[in-house]
This record gives sequence, C-alpha cells and structure tokens, in this order.
Amino acid sequence: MTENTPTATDHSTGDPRPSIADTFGTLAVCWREPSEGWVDAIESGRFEWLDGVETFGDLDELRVEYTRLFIGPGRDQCPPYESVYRDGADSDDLGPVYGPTTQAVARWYDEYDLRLRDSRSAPPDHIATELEFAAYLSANEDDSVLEQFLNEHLREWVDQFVAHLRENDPGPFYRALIRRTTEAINS
Amino acid sequence: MTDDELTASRRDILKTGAVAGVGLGGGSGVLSTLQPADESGEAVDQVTSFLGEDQVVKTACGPNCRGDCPLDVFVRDGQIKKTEQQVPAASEFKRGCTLGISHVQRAYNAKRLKYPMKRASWSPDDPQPGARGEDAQFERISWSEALDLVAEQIQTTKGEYGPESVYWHAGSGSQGTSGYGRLKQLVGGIQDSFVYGIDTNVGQGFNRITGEGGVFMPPTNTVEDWANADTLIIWGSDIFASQFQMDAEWILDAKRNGAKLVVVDPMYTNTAEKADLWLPIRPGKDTHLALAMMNYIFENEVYDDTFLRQRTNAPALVRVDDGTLFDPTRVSDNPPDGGIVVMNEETSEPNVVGAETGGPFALFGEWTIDGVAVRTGLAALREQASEYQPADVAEVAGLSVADIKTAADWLATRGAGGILPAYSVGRYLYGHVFGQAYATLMALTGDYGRHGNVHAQHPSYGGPSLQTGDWGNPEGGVSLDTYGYQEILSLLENGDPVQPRFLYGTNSNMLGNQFPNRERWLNAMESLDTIVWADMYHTPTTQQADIILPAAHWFETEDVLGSDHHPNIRYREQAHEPLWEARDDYYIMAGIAERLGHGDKFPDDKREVLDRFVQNDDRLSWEQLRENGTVETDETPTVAYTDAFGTESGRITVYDDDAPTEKGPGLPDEGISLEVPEPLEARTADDWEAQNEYPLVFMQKHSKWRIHSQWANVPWLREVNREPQLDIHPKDAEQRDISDGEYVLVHNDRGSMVVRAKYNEGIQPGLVNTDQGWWAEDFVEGHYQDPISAETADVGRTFAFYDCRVEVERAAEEYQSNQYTQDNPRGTAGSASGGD
Ligand code: SF4
Repeated sequence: MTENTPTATDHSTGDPRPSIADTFGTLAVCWREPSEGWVDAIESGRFEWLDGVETFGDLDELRVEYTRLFIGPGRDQCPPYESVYRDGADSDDLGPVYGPTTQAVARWYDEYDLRLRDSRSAPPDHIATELEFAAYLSANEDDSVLEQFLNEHLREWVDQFVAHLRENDPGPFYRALIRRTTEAINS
Repeated sequence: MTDDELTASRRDILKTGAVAGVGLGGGSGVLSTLQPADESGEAVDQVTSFLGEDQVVKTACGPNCRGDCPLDVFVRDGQIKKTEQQVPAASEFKRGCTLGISHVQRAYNAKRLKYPMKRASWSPDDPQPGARGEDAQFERISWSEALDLVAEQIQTTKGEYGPESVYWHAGSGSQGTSGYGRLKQLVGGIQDSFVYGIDTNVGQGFNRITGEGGVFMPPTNTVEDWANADTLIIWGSDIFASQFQMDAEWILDAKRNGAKLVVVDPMYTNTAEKADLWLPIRPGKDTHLALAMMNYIFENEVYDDTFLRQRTNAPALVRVDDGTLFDPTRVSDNPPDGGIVVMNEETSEPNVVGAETGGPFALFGEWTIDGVAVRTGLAALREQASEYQPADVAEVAGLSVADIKTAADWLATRGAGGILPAYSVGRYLYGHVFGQAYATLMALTGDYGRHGNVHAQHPSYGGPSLQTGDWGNPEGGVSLDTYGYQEILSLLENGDPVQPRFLYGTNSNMLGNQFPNRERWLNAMESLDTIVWADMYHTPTTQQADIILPAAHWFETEDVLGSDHHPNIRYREQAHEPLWEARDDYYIMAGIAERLGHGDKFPDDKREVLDRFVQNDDRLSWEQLRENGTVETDETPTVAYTDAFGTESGRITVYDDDAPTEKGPGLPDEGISLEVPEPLEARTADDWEAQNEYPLVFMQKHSKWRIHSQWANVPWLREVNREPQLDIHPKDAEQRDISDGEYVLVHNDRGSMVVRAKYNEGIQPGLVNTDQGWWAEDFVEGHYQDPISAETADVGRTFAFYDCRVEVERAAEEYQSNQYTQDNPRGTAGSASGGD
C-alpha cells in the first residue's frame, strides 16, 4: 500500500482519510458524467484525497472530454461497461453491452435486493454502478464479500478498460481518477 | 408522451442526487444509481432465469435490401438473446440472411448512439461549419435541448433565408413509421431524391422505350412464375450473394425445371458459378453484347415476328431523310391516338394502326410514299445491329463468339426468356442505354406478357400493401421541391437556384458510403449552418453533424409495415425499450412537430397511428398481427406487360423516334441521338484519354456482408470480413510488383485509398474491385468514394460509380504496417454500425 492509498478507517471517527465505502462511493461519483452538482461536491472538499481533482478545469470542457471518452459517438470512446471488455469473442475488439457478465453483475445486485433506479439509462455494469455497489458492500458486509465482488468483477476488467482509456488520451482529471481507481480496487 | 415525460422515464442519475451518498458510511446511503428493490416499484427482474422460457417477439428487419424479412426475436428477462427467421403467413416467402440473425450484435453494440449530442464547436450564432470533420468533438445534451435546437434552427433558417433553405434528406436505411414525410410536408423546405442520382440509369432506359416502370428496376412477373422460364440471363448481378433471400430460390426452381441460366458478369461470382453459361464481359461492353445478340437473332431470323408486329413499333414506317415516323395524318383522316403507319403486305398499302394490333405488316423494306422515302423501324434497328457482328463484339468484349451466339440462341429459341439486370450496368455513365438495349432485345424475342418472362430482379408486389390513409399526405401539408442528388451537390456548391442552410438527415450514411467524390461533398456541405442527423449508430456521416439524435433499433420499436417484395403485412412488437436515451424516430418527429406547432398532427402515442392503419384495412386485425407476426395480403402472382405499353403508341418503341441526345465525357460535342441502342462509353472506353495513366477499371461490388454500409462493424461479420481489400488479378499485381496481401495505393487524379491487395483469379485483368459498404475509418487511408467522379451525363443524370479508372501501386512502407497488421487492441474494429 502506498501512503496515499485510502484505508478502511471509518469516516465518522474524524480520520481525514475516507473509509473504503467513501472511497468507492466517491470514485463512483467521479466516473459519472460531470454536472453542476458534481462540481459542488468536488468543491466541498470531500474529494480531496483524490488528488488531481482540482485539475478538472472548466466543467464544459470536462463534459466534452467525458463525452469523447465514455459516451461517444467517436472512435475514442471507451464504453465504461464490464461486458464490453469481457464478453467479446476477440480480445482486440470491443464486446457487446448486455453480455453474460452484465447478467452476473445484476445477480449480485439482485442478491442484495438492489435494482437500477432506471433500468434503461445504462447497463448495470457501468463502472460507476459497480463502484457504488462496492461501496455498499463495504458499508454493509464483511470484507470477504467485497473481496469476492472485486475479484469477480472490477478486478477482472478495469485494467483492460483503463489501458484502452490511456490510449485515447485522457486529460489530467481522468488520469488521476484512473490511478486512484486502480489503486482502490487492487488494494 | 411529451419529451419531459420521456426524459423522466429515464431519469438522469445526476439529477437525482448522485452525490448524495458520498460521505454516508452505512446502510444504503451510498446508493444513488442502485436502489433497494422495495423502493423501486419496478417488478422487472434483471437476472436471467436459466429455467425460464424465452418470449418470442415477432418483429421485422428493415434495411433497403428488398428482403423485408419478418424475424422472430427470442427475449429472456427483457434481453434479446437471438434472432431467427420467421415463417410468414405467405409461407413460401420465408427468408432471412446472416445479417438478420446477427441483430443482437447491433442492438447491444457498445458504440451505439446513446444520447442526443451537439458538436462542441457549434452554436446557433456561430456554427463554425469549418470545424466539422474527423476531429469534431461532441457533448451530450438532453432531448428537450436537442429538439428545441432543431425546431429553433428550422424556424430561424426559414425566417432568415426562406423555406427553401431547409433541406430534408433521407436515405433508404430504415423501414418504419416515422412521420418523417409527414413532418417535412407540414414544415416545408426542399427535399432530395435518388431520382436522379443513384441507380437511376437502367430503369430509365427501359422506361423510355416501354413506358413502363420508373427509373429503378422495371416491373416483372412475380417470383412464383419464374419457374416457367426456359432461359434466364442474369446480367451484372451477383444474386447468389447479394439478392439471395429475394431471388435465388426461384432461379434455382427454374433451373430444376430445365431452364438454362446465363450469367453476364466481368467477375466470377457466386452467381456465375451456378450458370450453365458465364459470359465474362469486359467492363462497359454490355450494350455491345446486347447488339451482338440482336445481330444473331436478325441473321438467323429467330425473332418473334408476331410480337413485333402487334406489340412493338418494329413495323412503323420511318422517314429515311430525318428519322421521324411517317405522319399518320398523311394516310388516314382520323388516325387513332398514338397510331403508327405500317405497310400492309397483303394490300401493299400503308395503314395506320393503334396499340395491340397485329396484322400482315412488313417488318423490313423500303418504300416511297407521297414522294417520301421510308423504311421500317425494325430495318433501322437491324442496320444498327449489323454493325455488331458477334465476331467483332467477342473481340471488344473479351468473349467467345460461340458463347454470344449460344446466349442469343437460348433466349430466342428455348421458349420463355428473362433478363435480370441489376443496377450495376447503370453505374456506368451511360448505363441507361443498356436499359434500352435489353428492353429491345426482349422485344425481338417476344418476351413480354407471357409466363416465365422475367425483366428484373427482386420484383415488387404491386399495389399498396398497407393502407396508411392520409398519414403520408397530411392535411395542410405542402409539396416540397425535389432535387436529385446530383443537383443537390450544385445547390450546396453554388446556391443556385436555392441555397440550403439547414439539413435534417436520417436513415443515411451518404457521406460515409454512397456519395461519389466524397471530399467534394464534405467541402460543399460547409455551406450548411446546421446539420442534424438521426441514426442508430455513429457513422462517418453523423460525424459531420452538428446535432446528433440517437434512433432506436428496429427491435426497440413497435410498428406495422407493408412489404414491397412479398405479400405479407408485418408487425413489429417491441422487444424492449430503446437503450440509453435512443428514441423511436416517430417520437423524434413528434417532438419537432410539437415545437413547430404541428403537435396535433402527431398523436402522443404512436400506437394510435398504427391503429389507424389496422382499422383502415379489412384484412388486418391486431390479434392476427400479434399472434402470427404477419398477415397475408391478397396480392396475387402476376404476369407483367399483358396490356398495351405505356408509350404513346402503346407499343415498345424498338425505334425511338423521340429519342434524347446524350452528351457527356467521351462523346462528341453535338451528342449522340438514341433512336436505337448505341453503345456509349466514358472512362471504360479503350480510347479514354487517361487510359494509359489510369489503366484499371475500378468497381465496388455489393457484398453479402452489408446492406449498403449497415452491419459494417458487427463483430461476427468482421471475423469473416475484416477489412476492405482490392480484388486484383495476379497478372496485374505481378506487373506492378505487388504481392498478395500487401497494402496498395489505389489512385487517380481525383483521390485515393490504401487497402490490402487480394489476388483474385476470378476478376479479369484490367479490372479491380473493392466491395462497397466500408466506413472511412476502415481504410488505412482515403476512401473508395474518393477516386470516383460525381459527374453525370445530360440524359442519364446518374452517378457513375463504376465508370472509374485508377492506377494501383504498392503503398509506401509507412502504410504496410497499420491498424490491421499491428497488435492494436480495439484499434479499428470498433463495433458500431448503421446508417445506410
Ligand atoms: S438484411 Fe435483408 S435479407 Fe437479411 S434478414 Fe434483413 S431484411 Fe432479410
């Protein structure tokens, strides 16, 4: 563990470092599309440990970058869904959305009686949703359960996803986010 | 449904407090996208039940392939699992191709268009058209913002520049009830059309002398009748690859019944492989061949003289001095409408006869009537054909004399005959002359109006198969001025007579696939302030847009559809809601209509519109549609051309006294008049001016892996069809020191592309081919439309994609390693597909 790695300290004790749940929860938010509320949250200082967040610059520019990297429509897009990196027939090619691993993730949520708030807004294996679920597990379950989820899912695809992302020239904010996210899920 | 409701039904997590959970350490407080099931109120189980049953959803495929295939889609727990061919009510039309069964990879394509977008550098006040292109960036916007922008731009454009600066463009990429036609008539503006522009040559030539059909494929006996054919000539179409669903089985039925199958094609295709006789014609020599066949028929007197006398103007007397028809009023005080003057051999007197009238009329001969020298129309045709001796044409067209004679003999003497051309011959600049030529050839052999006659591939099933009432022509709508594609290019470039400023495009990947001389179009479109484009996928065309609207996949829509090519009305049941924020085109149109004050013309629920179609039609009921997926219509197999022809005389004008004069590249300045078929060539001609510099003719054949450019990046298909390549004969390649598999530069003075060379002995020396349907990003460099001219001829007015010459050389070293040779994970083979 590096000194910057978030630890499992409970946020409520006043330890400046966030809890694992907060870490994953924060990361989840950061992987969502930037919005006004999102900026407010960042400016509130809660995300400070994620050093690099201050480099997000202009919200409009970041939204354009987010669109380019995660929504498309262009060639640079890296769809942030697990199945895309795990369910393709050819590892050189982007796989589909709504693949078998999407189903496997949905089964985890189902196990905890969780549903997507809006089942059609995006497939359930969006990186932010998986991180949010990791936050939920770490807040509500034994570490071993979180470990199992990380092993079965995030650790299985995020490396490939971020490798693809790095090839498409992410700016400083997303570079920091990539670093923190891989650290968090691999710690 | 209003846009707000639609948006609300897909709540944006960001607006519902995504950040709320941060900092809350326990319980479900970390959740924002997920929520406890008891709060969701949504009973939908998101998990696959392995023991569950698939729900079979009846729906339909719908690109412009003429298949019109109904499909069964297997849905489990809200997800599409697979697609199968559906047996329709008229069950002999069961069909469905590899593309149809790979839809799951289109629906769940990770690169679908997901949300409305706006080009980041575009704004209404400062559109920056020059910033469009490969590097343009986009940002996500909401549906209401997108539709507001579209509506405002339509309003301001109309206000500032007049209604004719609003330009509506639709390709042929999607069948469905969208209301696009309705909206544009309510809003006004101009529209473009394939007519004239793309594939309007062959039908045009056929129509000119028969008065039948339009500019596309002419009417023909429907497929059930093809088994009665004794000779079928497939002329320039790879039916067994690209029209397989529609036509192949019926041709095989004819073959099993003893028909001879002749295939005329410069390439050894899947279809040529099925032929009893393959004529590997040199590019551009089709009219030469048709004339040589006529020559054989005249010399051996195997023409159908009864048919010629009764149903053509072969016996019409033509003035020798000026080539006009002899004036009927000089023979009769009261000639019938469209009557022709013929020489009655029994009385040796001229008579005037109307349509569908036979008799003892001379087919050949010269006379002087009232001091005017005349001969028959057929004599003029025979004289023209006499210039095309099979032996000479064999030399010119790269064929054997015996094969030419055999083909002609089979067609003329074996009973009912058919010629199935495709659009390909019309992709030469003067391809309409071939339409005239084959219509004439079939007139000589009397092959109209009988069982077993075939005049075109993929026949239509006559009348309107779906009763849409006034849906397509709303009350208060205006009719829009229409410009052919070749005219649009000059509108964009010169603003004459109107200057389009706003473009709404849909169902079309024209800039990525179908417009010749791509760079010229891209430049011309800089004159547009706003380009709005709706598609399922991000194509090279949507990349040029300022506002992008994500359309639903067909399986995500409900619809009731007619079928042009089989007698079944089809139902589309919705398999699930559109993914992300994609929307049924209907709701896009309705959203724009509402903002422009035409909301009352688009019911909130599309079902209401479909319900009208069903209510309008006694044959239909919702029960049947839902249960069976299709309802058989009462259209019956037909034999075409049983009545008087649509020409002035009611006869096929084998001698066209009213012929146009064609002008264009390669022709004398005064042009060439086309009373009888005259082989005209531009760049395929042996004496074409740039023939030494660019010796190879370049074609772009249809492949079985695409409908236009749709399915371009479906992974299953890309496995077998990885990259664009250049089919080149080993002899041509070796002469140029090109090894099999090397990357080559294909170029002329207009443009170039870099693709992999593929040795192919099935392609003749002198000809090269790249299958069409690839997107800009699939090329190592350039695009196959870059070397092709957008020039059209005076009469043809049709883009001539195959009238292209190029030179090929080994590409520079830097191109030899590229996205296809390097280990480049996720490099090129993105997985989007769509457009047209
Ligand atoms: S692409 Fe055409 S032939 Fe293939 S399934 Fe669809 S409609 Fe049928």
